[in-house]
Amino acid sequence: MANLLRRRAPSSEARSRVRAKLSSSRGREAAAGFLFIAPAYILYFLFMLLPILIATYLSLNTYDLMHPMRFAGIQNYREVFADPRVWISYANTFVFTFSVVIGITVFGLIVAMLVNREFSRITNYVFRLAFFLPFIIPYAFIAIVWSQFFNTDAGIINYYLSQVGLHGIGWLSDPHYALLSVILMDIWKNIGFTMVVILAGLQSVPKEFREAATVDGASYFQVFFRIILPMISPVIFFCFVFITIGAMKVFDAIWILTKGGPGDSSRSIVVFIYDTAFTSYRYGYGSAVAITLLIVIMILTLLQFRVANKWVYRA
Amino acid sequence: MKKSTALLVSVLLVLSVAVWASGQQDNSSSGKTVVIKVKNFGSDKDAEAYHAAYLKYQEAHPNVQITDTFVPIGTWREYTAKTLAEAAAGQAPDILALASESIRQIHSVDLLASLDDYIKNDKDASAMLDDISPTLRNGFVLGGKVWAIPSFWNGIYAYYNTDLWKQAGLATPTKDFTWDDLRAAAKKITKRDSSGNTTVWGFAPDMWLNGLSSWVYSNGSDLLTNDMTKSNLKDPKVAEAFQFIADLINVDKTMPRPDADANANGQSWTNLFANGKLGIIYGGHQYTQVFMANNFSNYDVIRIATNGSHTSSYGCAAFSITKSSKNKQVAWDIIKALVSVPVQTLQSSQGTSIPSRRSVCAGAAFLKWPKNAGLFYGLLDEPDGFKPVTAPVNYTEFEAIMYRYVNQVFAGSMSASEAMVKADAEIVQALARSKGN
Repeated sequence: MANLLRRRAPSSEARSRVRAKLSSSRGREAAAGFLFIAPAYILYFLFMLLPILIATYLSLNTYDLMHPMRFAGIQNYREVFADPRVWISYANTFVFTFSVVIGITVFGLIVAMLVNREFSRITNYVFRLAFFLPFIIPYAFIAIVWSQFFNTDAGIINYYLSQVGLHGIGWLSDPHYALLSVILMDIWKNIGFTMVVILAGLQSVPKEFREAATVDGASYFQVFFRIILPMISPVIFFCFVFITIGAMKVFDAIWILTKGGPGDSSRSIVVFIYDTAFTSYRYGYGSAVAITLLIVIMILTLLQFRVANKWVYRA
Repeated sequence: MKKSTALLVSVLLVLSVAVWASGQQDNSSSGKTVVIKVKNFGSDKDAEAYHAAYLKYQEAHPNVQITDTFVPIGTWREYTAKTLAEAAAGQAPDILALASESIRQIHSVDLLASLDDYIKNDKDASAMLDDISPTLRNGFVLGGKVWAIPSFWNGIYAYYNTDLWKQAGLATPTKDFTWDDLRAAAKKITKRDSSGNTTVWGFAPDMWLNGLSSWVYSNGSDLLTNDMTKSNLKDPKVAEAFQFIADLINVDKTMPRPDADANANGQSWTNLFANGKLGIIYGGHQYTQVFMANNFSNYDVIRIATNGSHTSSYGCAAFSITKSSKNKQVAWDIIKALVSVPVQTLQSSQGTSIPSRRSVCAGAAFLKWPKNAGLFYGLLDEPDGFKPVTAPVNYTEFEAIMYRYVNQVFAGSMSASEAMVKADAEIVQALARSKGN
C-alpha cells in the first residue's frame, strides 16, 4: 500500500517531455500576451515615442520645411536659454498651471462636497450634469462663447461691472488681464472633471468614521480636515498630477481667446512652440523648446510624486 | 482535388488581370482623364461663382475633372502656412490661389511656374491682361516674369454713415479728409449712455495687416523699404501712425478696443456699422456684402484720411500654376475661365471683393451701390492711389511680429515708438534668417 502511495521519481525522459510541454504552453501564452498588447505598444511607439525621437533629432538641426536640413548641434538649445520670450512663455505657463491646479481642485472639491448629499435622484442628476457639462463640451465652442463674455465693449461681464459702478476691463486686450481671463475660463470648464473624481473619493470614505468623529465631538471642519481630506488625498494627488500635465501643455484655450497676446502676456510655452514652428518655420528651434518642455514636465511630475510621500494617505 | 483547386485559382487570377487590363484600355481609348486640383479661398459667394465656372468648363471639356479645395478666409498667415506644408508633403495643387501677402514667400520656395510662355502663346491673353490694371498685374511680376493672374482684390477705403454724419452736423468729407478731420468727426459722432457705456462709436480701422499698412502709407511712410527686404520701422512716421490709432482707443475713446483676432474684429465692427452704431469704418469692398445682407444703405465711400499722403493699401488675390503640375496648359485654360468676364460679373453682383477686370467694374452691377462706387477701381489709376500691402518673403513671421507689437500699442501697454524699436530688432533678425536659407 505504502508503495502504491509513494510517488515514483519521474524518469529523465518523462521530465524532458513535461518540460517541453510546459515550455511550449508557456511560450504560447507569452506569445499570446505579446500579441494582445502589441497594438497598444505599436500605437504608443508611433504616436508617442517616435515623435519624441524625431523631435529630438530635429532639435539638433536647422529646418524650415522648404530648404534642406542643416546640422546645428546644440545651437538651438543655446538660443532657447538666451531667448527672453521663452522665459516669458514659461513664466506664463507656470502661473497658469499653478492657478488652474489650485482653482480646479479647490472648486472641484467644494462642488463635490455640495453635491455629495442626500438629494432626490433627479436633483442629483441635474446638479452633476450641470457641473460636468462644460468639461465635455469642446474647447473651441467654450472659447468662442467666453470671448463674447469678455468683450470689452459689448461683453456681459463688463456690462454687469458697469451696473455696479465699476469700469469695464479689457479682459482680452489688456496685458494685465489676458492671462487671468484664460485662467478663469479654464477653471470654469474643468471643475466638472475634479468634481466627478473627488466625488468618487468622497463616496468611498466610510460613513462610520465620520459618525464616530461626530459622536466624539468633532466639528464639521475637524471631520473634514482630519478625516475626509486625508482619506481622499490620493484622489486629490491624482487631480494635481493630471491637471498639472494638462495645464503645462495648454494651447487651445489661449489660441482661441487671445492668441498669446497682447504681446506675449498670455503666451504659453506650447503656443510659443506652435508659433515658432508653424509661423516662423523654425522647426529645429521649436523642437528644441518642445524637448525642454518634456524635461520640465518630467521633473515636475517626479517632484510631485516625491512630495506626495509626505502628505498622501496610503492605507 | 488539390490540383483542381490550384488550376481554378490560376484561371481566376488570369481572368482578373485580363479584366483589369481591359479596363485600363477602355480608359485610354476614350481620352485620358485629366484631374486638376485647385486650392482657392474666398467667401461663400465666391465659392458659388467658381463652382459655376468649373461646371461650365467641365461641360465643354468632359475629360477634365476639377477638384477644388476651397478654404474660407481665416488669416493669410494660416493659409500660406498650410499651402507650404502641403507643398512640402508633395501635395501641391495644379492651380494655387495666392495673394499679395504670400506671393514673395511662395515664389521664394520655387513652387510656381512662370506664366510668360502661356501668355505669349495665347491670342486671348493680351485682351485679358489689358482689362486688368497694371497696378494689380505688377504685384505678381517678380524678376521680370509673371507668376500669377489677378482675380480679385481689395483696397482700404473709408465708409462713413451718412445719417450719423448729418446728425453730428458734419460737412460731406472730401478727397482731402485729414487725420485731424477724422479725429474730430469721431469725437462728434461718439455717444455714451448715462452709465458711460458707448452706444455709438466714432471710428474703427481695418485690423488686417493691409489695413494697418494703409495708416502708415497715408502718413507718407512704409513698414519696409520699397523692395520689401529691409525694415523701415524706425521711421518716426510709422510709430506716429500707430500712436494715432492708439490715442483714438485710449485717449479719445472713440474707437472700440480690438481683440486678438483681426477677422473677428472686422466682422464685429462691420456689424456695428451696418446697424448704425459706428460712424466711420476702414475696410475693403467685401464689407458691402455685409451691408447688403443687413439692408443697410445709409453710407458712402471715400478715400482714407490723409496725413501728407493719399496712398492707401491694397491686397490682391491671383491664380498661379504650380511647377509640379503635370497639366499646366489645362490649368492655364481654367485660370482664364476663372478670371473671365461672366465669372467676375457674377462675383461683382454679390458684393464680394473687387473684380480685377476694369470692364466688369465699369458695369452697372458693380456700380449700383454706393453712390461713389466708381472710386473702388478708379483709385488704381491715380498715381498716389494704392500701394500693395507690405509683404516680405517671410510674410507669416513678419505679420506675427507686427501684430504682437501693434496689439500692445493699442492696449496702451507700450508706446508706439518703443514698440517699433523692438519690432524692428525682431524683424531685422527674421529677415536675416530668411536670407540665410
